[in-house]
Amino acid sequence: MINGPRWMVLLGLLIGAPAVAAAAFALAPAGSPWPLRLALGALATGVFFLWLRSLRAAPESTGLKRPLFFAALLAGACAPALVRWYFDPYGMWDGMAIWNARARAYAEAFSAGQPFVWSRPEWNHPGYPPALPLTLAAASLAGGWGEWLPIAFACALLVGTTGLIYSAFTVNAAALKAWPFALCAASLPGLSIIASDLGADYPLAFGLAAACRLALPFSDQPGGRWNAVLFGALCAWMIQLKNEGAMLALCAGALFVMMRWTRAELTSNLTAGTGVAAGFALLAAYKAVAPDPEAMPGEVADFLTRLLIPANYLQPAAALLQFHALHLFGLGALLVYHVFRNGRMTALAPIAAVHGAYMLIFVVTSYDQAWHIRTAFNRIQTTLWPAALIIAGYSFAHPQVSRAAWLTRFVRRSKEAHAPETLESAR
Amino acid sequence: MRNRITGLALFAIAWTVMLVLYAQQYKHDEESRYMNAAARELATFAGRIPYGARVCLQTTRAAAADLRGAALYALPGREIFVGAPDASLPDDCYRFAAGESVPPAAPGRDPAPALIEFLTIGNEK
Repeated sequence: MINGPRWMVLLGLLIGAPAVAAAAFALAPAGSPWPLRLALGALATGVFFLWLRSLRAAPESTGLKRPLFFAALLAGACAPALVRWYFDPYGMWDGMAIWNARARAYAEAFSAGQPFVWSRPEWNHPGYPPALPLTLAAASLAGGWGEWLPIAFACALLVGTTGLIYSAFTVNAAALKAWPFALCAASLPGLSIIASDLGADYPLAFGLAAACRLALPFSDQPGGRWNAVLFGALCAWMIQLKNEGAMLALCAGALFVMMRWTRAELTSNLTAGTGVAAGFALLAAYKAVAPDPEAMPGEVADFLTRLLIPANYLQPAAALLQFHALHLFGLGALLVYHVFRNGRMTALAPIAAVHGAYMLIFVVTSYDQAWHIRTAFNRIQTTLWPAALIIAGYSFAHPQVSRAAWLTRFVRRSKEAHAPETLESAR
Repeated sequence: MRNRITGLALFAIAWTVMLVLYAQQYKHDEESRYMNAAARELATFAGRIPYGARVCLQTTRAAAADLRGAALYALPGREIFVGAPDASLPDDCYRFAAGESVPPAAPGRDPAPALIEFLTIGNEK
């Protein structure tokens, strides 16, 4: 079963191998024949797998095994996506026209041994980061492009995300008590639907959830250098996935440092920071050569002016309320309540900050606000949900004494301290 | 055990209700419906349109962006033109084929053959 260090290997398989192969393929000398590029990709992947083997040296999991729970989670998380793919196998607009169109174009250029050229870049946001199309294109080297490829990748991420949530709620008996909450929260159709869109949102959600799983000191966490290396690689991958990935990588980085703010963990923090910095450097290099690298057209002064107009906050605020009521069905409030009760609000702070920052994007947007909210609000806010669930799992598994409990204990101790005097005076 | 089964049953009912609500919402998602139908239809033409060819598409639907998106996915490596749903399309297509307002053939790639495909995709019901 997917638990403990094994899910780290799963992460590596899902992200690392195709990403390494794609990078090696893309970095081969210009004009070299495709067998050489393929061999280079295979070599890089082989080295990566050798590195993965070292992860097996991590201590075995002490987690609980609940196959029925995992099966229920998986069924709840995957069913809406499977139903939608039956009707719309190509996903939604962004998935088809931005991410998979480019993946397919990369794949055809790779297999033809020709340099990639943009076809109608003005139609599909060429400035968006390239990790997802490159990963899919690298995977297509095995047997050519097929419409099943993006679906297979999304399915792998659905299983991976479910595995991460399962592993967070089966770390110990205390966490497992919250299985009904985990089941309801992981089965929200809104989460599954963004996977079925076949865009970069669900990979981003998976990346953030995995980064949070690595950042939080769960009792089954192997820790150490490789944990930090994998965390840094994940952050770099998130930055290459989507423009919002930069914000999420910083959020995960903040969580990682917050959980390891000691002198002994300095090396881990530096290693993770190197991964994040490398991700930003790669993104800057890509934006320097990509046509139309802007995420949102407009001047900084205009964005700041829009921040000062109170009317711009009305629609995003209404969308936020609707998101919590109809998209998360109130489970967000329940999650915050439990994390607060378990004394782990600090861990939730970076995610809450991004939740608010996402809202500001819709306040300052240079697009038509109603259109932007309708097409993107729920989708990008949902990317935070699996990570929030991992943090909830951590809070259930490792609760801290909350303020309320501390007060209760203080009052009880005070009573006990005064009890003998009371007895003596009674005599 | 009985509590667990009751809980799972309640969950299954609530989950089914949520799923039905979502299905209702996506049933009316015309954009995805149309794009998927167009991509499926375009895929049947992909075999006979050579790589690098110039393809003219026309839609009777107002949102040409949806057809563009579907064509980008279903016809990679072709120069695509999507005409507005009016009678001027053939002229636009000929101008497009003559090389007006389109980027030159990419380096390292054969020049685009003088082939124009007129496809009318996604007629309204």
